[in-house]
Amino acid sequence: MQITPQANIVHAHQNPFAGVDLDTVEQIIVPRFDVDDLVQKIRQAESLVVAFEGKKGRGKTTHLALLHQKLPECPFFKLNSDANVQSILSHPSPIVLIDSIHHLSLSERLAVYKAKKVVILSRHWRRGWEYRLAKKQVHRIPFKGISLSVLKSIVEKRLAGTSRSNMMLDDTTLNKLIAKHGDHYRGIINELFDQFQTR
Amino acid sequence: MSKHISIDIICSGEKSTMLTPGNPKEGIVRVTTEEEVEIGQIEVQLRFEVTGKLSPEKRVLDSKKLLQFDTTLLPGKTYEYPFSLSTDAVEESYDGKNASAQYLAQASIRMADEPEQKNFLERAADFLTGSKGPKTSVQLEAINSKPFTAYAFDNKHLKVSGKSWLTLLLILLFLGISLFIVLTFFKNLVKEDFIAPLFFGLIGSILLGIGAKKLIVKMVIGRFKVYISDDEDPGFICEVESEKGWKAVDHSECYYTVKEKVVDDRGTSTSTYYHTIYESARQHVKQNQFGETKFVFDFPDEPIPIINASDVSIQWQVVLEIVTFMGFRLKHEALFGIKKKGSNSFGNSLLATEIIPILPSDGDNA
Repeated sequence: MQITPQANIVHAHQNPFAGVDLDTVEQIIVPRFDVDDLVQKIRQAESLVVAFEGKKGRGKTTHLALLHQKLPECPFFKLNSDANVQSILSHPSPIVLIDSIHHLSLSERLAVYKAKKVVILSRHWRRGWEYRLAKKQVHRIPFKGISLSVLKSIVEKRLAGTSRSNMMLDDTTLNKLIAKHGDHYRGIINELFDQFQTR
Repeated sequence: MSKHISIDIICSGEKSTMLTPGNPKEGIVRVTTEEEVEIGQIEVQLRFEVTGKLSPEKRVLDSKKLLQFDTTLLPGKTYEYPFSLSTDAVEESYDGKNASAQYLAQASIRMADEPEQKNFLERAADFLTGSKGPKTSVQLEAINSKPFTAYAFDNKHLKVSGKSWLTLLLILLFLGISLFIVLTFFKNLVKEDFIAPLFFGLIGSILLGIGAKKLIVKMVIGRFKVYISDDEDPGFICEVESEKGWKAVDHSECYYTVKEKVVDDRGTSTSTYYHTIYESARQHVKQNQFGETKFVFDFPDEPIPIINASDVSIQWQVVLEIVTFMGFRLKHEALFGIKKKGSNSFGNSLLATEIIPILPSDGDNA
């Protein structure tokens, strides 16, 4: 007799569209790219920037967290306005993941590109000239666009393992959400959160 | 094929939303199985979990191992394990619009043949997706007999908000004046190039509009100070002091609101969500025989918790809405602190009535 692990990401009492821990992100994500291929490329690279580019709410941080699951030995820096570049530069890992790199100044960013073999980062805007200035190869991944099938999978994953696991939103509802929010995934998830919040 | 083990938590005691130090929460973890299984450990935790439109926050406040050696559970039998969990501070659960902050009792089971290093909490969640449906935790409810009591208090300037329409009005006024001047006295400029004077006129109007608004608010209406004290039972007193007197004020209302504030820092940007969970009755401003402007407010009938989470807070705010002699409507707001009678969550003695400054005064905007 075997015990089949099927871990819950949320408890029964919780809203299935609430924010999730970054270390459980694998259970809710529908990756935009072949993660294993990218991990292999990162491990083999000598000098590379992997740039997740797109507007807010498109899944950049979620995909960075997923990559971090696959590269557990590499540090994941989630920057805010108090960002300190020294903590990144002083870390011995040659591969670093940096969320919201725009909180660093240009000179600090260039110092990071110079010090680290591979930098996997997220930001809102394209900065091709910056990588060229740092003489780094770049692998750019745009976070743009949405499809019904992907959204459907995301909603299915969110509902799985909760008290609403037998429930599914129909295509008409999902299409309406896409029409309203476009590819702003977090906007869609937040609207579903509002619908599922009992208060 | 999964083993079907059912785990349930039954909490004892009176129902309430508050946990208090020295009053441990007791209950029973009940386990049943549909077939013979060998389990290695049962653990129960008192957890604090914040979820919602934000990065979740989870803390274990207390935990007890109810079973620490391999035991065989037989089908058809019910096994009960009593537990007692406690906290060092007053804790309350909150279920809001954009976030929930809950204190939970969570039980988990590790099978006897599971390696120690495996995350048994995750494994425990697996057991709970059996035929009886998911059930990992129940919200703790403890005793809370006292309503709101002592209230934080800082004499501070009320901050003006919602005044953009006034700025816009003044900008339009100055834009009209600028256009009139340009068209009347500088007709040659209009013939040669209309864009440049219009552009400079617009910029000048914006600056004059902003400046005029500041001048009106500062020189004519003046600043307002609010003093809050909890002398009144069962409510609290709010006293408003006007720097320039009330001559420029045609009429005004004072009330307070309680808002849920949720900071969502997921991803590469930060959003803040506000939701009003309570608004008091509005009271008209009038001076008493001593020239004072005092209001007595009742506390909300429904209990509102104090939340000790990093991204979720409950904000209490005095609001003064005034209509000036010119018909301008201005809204002034100031946050104030709050504590509950019978609590020691601020490190003070029980039933204390004292002043607690919460925020630095930023009323210079007025």
